[in-house]
Amino acid sequence: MIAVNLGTGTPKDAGELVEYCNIKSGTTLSDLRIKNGHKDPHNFKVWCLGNEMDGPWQTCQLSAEDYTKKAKESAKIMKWVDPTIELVACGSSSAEMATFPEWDRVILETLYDYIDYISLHRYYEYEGDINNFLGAFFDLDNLINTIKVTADYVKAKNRSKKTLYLSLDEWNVWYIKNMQLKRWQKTPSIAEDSYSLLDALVFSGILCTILNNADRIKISCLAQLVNDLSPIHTEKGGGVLKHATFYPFMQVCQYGKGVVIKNLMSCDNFVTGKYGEVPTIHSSTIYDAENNKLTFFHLIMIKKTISY
Amino acid sequence: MKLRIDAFGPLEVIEHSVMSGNDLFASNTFEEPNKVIPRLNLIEKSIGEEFDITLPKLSWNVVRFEVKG
Repeated sequence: MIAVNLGTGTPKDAGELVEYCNIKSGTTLSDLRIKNGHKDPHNFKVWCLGNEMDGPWQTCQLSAEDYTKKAKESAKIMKWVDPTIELVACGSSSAEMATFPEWDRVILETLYDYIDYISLHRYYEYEGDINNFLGAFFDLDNLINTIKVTADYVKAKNRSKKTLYLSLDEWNVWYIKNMQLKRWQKTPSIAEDSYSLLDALVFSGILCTILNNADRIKISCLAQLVNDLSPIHTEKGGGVLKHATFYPFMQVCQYGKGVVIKNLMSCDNFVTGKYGEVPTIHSSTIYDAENNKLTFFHLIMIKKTISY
Repeated sequence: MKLRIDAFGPLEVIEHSVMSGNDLFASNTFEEPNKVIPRLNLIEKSIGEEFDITLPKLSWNVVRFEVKG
């Protein structure tokens, strides 16, 4: 997966990047890539049409209408250059954006036939209320459902036969308020969060939500993997530390393969200030037919041990 | 927790890994790199379709079964 720059970049730039990366040889830019030392094409399969273009932090933030025009023309050029690529449109960069979910409806109504996925991003952090933090899995499920029904509304409105997939291409627990931007330093440490057991539990709940929505979420990316907001921490000169979030991620990568089984769960709820009542048990079940294994992932948010 | 699994035939519980602890704010450090890691729960091996599993408070559990049918 790679993204083109739809902030300061133009649709022409986007098409040229596809040419540089994916065309084998015989064009100006593919030959330049070969001259630069890469004989074989990079063959990037999935291309994001910009990143978080609804965000004021973005270089050249766009309105939904302006993004739609720019993304549509870029998509046309990019697929003309390489018709085999798949495209991801920028959905709302967070459910907390003032333009959510109207941004998504507006861009999809025009871009629906040009793209293969709409992106979602979501981060959570502990802000002093454990129940609210533990409810992250529930909030993410709501977000995914909102984008799903928005896409399905547009599918019906546009009389389309295509079902749009979701790309949850950024998610994590991220202590964004602790981030320290440092200007003009080489590889500064700006967001090297440490992760607690509580963070790992919230993180695990998010993993279950992602698995349970596997019919629509075809791409999901933990952001990031090493050092900044990551399960793996390294130190200059050596030393590697696996944070608590490393382990549930490893387990789901290892055992979350196969078919997701919808399970029925009967359990109590707990009350959150942010999301209302939330189930005390969140789970996901995976059947791995190849290895004849069934795996249950359970996140328990009850505050005393349960047994029968 | 009571777990009933239909349509797979008999299953054998083969592993139960648990991540939990009394300190929700504990984290791994270079001094204590294994403070917050999953630990294998001792399980009584049983074959069937219904299982009673004890799950600790505030925990992440991975329970794995082999399909015997």
